[in-house]
Amino acid sequence: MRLPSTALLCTLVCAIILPACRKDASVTPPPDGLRIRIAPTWGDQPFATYTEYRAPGNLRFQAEMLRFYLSDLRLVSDSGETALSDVVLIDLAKSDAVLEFDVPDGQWRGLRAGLGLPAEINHSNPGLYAENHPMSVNTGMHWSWANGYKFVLFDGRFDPDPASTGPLFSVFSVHTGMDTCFTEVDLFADLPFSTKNGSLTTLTLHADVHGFLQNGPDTIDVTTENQSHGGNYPLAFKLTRNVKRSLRLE
Amino acid sequence: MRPARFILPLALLASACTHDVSDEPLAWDPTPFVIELPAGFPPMAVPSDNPLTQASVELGKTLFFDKRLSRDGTLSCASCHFPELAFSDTVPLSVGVDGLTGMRNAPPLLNLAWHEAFFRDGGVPTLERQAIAPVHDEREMAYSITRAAAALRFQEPYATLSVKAYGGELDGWSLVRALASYERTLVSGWSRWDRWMNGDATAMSEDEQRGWELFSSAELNCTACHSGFDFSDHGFHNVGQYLAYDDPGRERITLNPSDNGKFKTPTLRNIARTAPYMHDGSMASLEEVIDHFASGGLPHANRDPEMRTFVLSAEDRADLFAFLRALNDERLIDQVR
Repeated sequence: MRLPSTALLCTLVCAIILPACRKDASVTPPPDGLRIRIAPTWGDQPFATYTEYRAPGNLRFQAEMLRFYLSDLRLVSDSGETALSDVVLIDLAKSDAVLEFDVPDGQWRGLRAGLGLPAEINHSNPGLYAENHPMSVNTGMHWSWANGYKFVLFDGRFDPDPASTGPLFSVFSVHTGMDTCFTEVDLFADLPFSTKNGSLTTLTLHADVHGFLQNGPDTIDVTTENQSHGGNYPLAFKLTRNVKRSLRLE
Repeated sequence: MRPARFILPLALLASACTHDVSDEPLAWDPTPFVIELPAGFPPMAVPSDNPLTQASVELGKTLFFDKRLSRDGTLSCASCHFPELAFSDTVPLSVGVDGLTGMRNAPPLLNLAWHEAFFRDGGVPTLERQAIAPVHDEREMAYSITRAAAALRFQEPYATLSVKAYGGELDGWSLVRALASYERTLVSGWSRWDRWMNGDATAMSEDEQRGWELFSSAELNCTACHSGFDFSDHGFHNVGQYLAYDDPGRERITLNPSDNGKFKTPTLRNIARTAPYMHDGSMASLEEVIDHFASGGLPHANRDPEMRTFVLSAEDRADLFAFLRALNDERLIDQVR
C-alpha cells in the first residue's frame, strides 16, 4: 500500500485540529469574579495625561505620569474583611486599566486598602520581584536611595502665568514615599454589592486628579509646591491626604 | 531502511551533547576569594547569601567597568569612581547620561565592607541594595539592573561567570550581588601611617608625625568623628557647612528635622587623592576644608557640638597636610588581579 502524500497528511491533520480549535473558543467560560475599572477624571471631565487642564489658581497644567500603589486590598463586609491582593499599581495614564480578582460569594460594603506600601514590604528586596510584578524594579516606583518605594508618583508641567499660551515649561514632580506617608483608605460603595460564582461583578474606581491638587482644606499651589522627592515631606503628606480623599468606588 | 535516516542524526546529536557537557562542566564554583586585610583591621563580615567567591568578585569587577550598565552605553561605575583616585571622581558632581549631574559628590569606595549604611545620608542598609541606585538613577546611569542583566546574560564572560558565581544566568539580583562582592574587596589600609602605627618608626617623617599629633589633639578634635581604623565613626554629623542646606542630608531618610544637614563621616584614607570635598564637592582643596573646620563652622541649629575653632601656624598646617598625605595607600586598593 502506498503511503499517503504530504498534502493529504496535512489535510487530515488540519481536519482534526481546526474543529478542536473552534470548539475550544466556543466553550470559553463567561467571566466571573470582581472587575474594578479604573476611571480617572479631572473634576467632572475625562482625564488623560499630556492634556491641558486648569489647576488651582486657574493655571494651565498637564499631568505626564501618575501612578500609585494600593496594598493589602480587602473586600469589606458587615462581618469582616476578605483579602483580594497584596499590592496593585494603579497607572492613571492607562485609559482602560482594570483590576480583576477571583472572589468568594458574598455581600460587600466596599474595599479597604493601604495607599502606598506597608513597611514590611516597602523595604523588601526589589531584585527579587519578577518583571511583571507591580513591585518590579522596572516600574519606576523604586526609590533605591531610600531603600523603599514611591507610594504616589505625580509628574507634570504647568505655566505659572495663567494668561500665557506658550509651552508648559515649569516642572511639577511630587513623589510620596517613606513609611510615614503610608495610610489606609476606605472605599465604600454607595450601595452594597454582591459577588457570586459564575457571574461578574463590575465596580468603578474613580480617581479625581484635580482633587489630587485641591481637596478639602488642602490646596497644592503648584507655583510654589511643585517638588518633593523625600525632602519636602509636608507637600508629600498634603498630596497623600488629597489622593486619599479623591478616590471613590461606584 | 527508511528508519536509519532518523537514527543517524539522533546519534550524532546525542554524542555532541555528551561531548560538550563532559568537556566543559559549568557549575557554581564556591572557591572563596581570599581577601587580604591590613594589620589591625577587624574581621570582614560578609552576608551569608552573598559569600565572597573568586567568581562573584571577578563577575563584579567585570560589571563595574562595563559601560553597558548605563542606558546609552556611555558610563560604567568606573566612569565616576576612578580606581587611581581611590575610586572617587574629580568633579563636584558627576555627570550622568544625557549630561545630567548627580545630587552629591561621588565618594571614594574604600572599606565599604565595614559600613552599616550607604550613601551620604545612610538611606540604604546593604552594599547589594546600594548597587541598584546608580544604575537606576536618571541622573546617573538611567538604566535598569534587570534590563542590563538581560542584555548581557548570553554574552561572555557573563554567561560563564554568572553560572560560576551564582549558579545561573545573570539577572538583576545576581548583578547587584556581584557588584557588591567586588566593592567589598576594595580595602584601604596600606599607608605609611599604617606602617608607622605597626612599628616601622621610619615610615613617617617627623613632619608627618607632628601632623598626626595635631590631628589627634583635643584642640583640633578631628578624632571626635574621624576615628578608628577607617578614620570615620560612620555616623552622621552637621559640620556647619551652611546655615540653610539645599540638601537635607540624613533628614531625607529619617524625616527628623534634627537630622537636617547631617551627612555620614567620610573616611580620610587616601584623602589627598579624593578632591573635591564635602557632600556636595563644594570645597576644591584640603586647605579649604581645614579652614572651614578651623572656623568651627556656621551656627546651624544642628551643628555638631564637637565642632570647635582652632588656630594653626603655617608650620602646623604644613604638618597636618603632610600627615593627611601619609594616609595614601602605597599599594593598589583593588585586590583582583
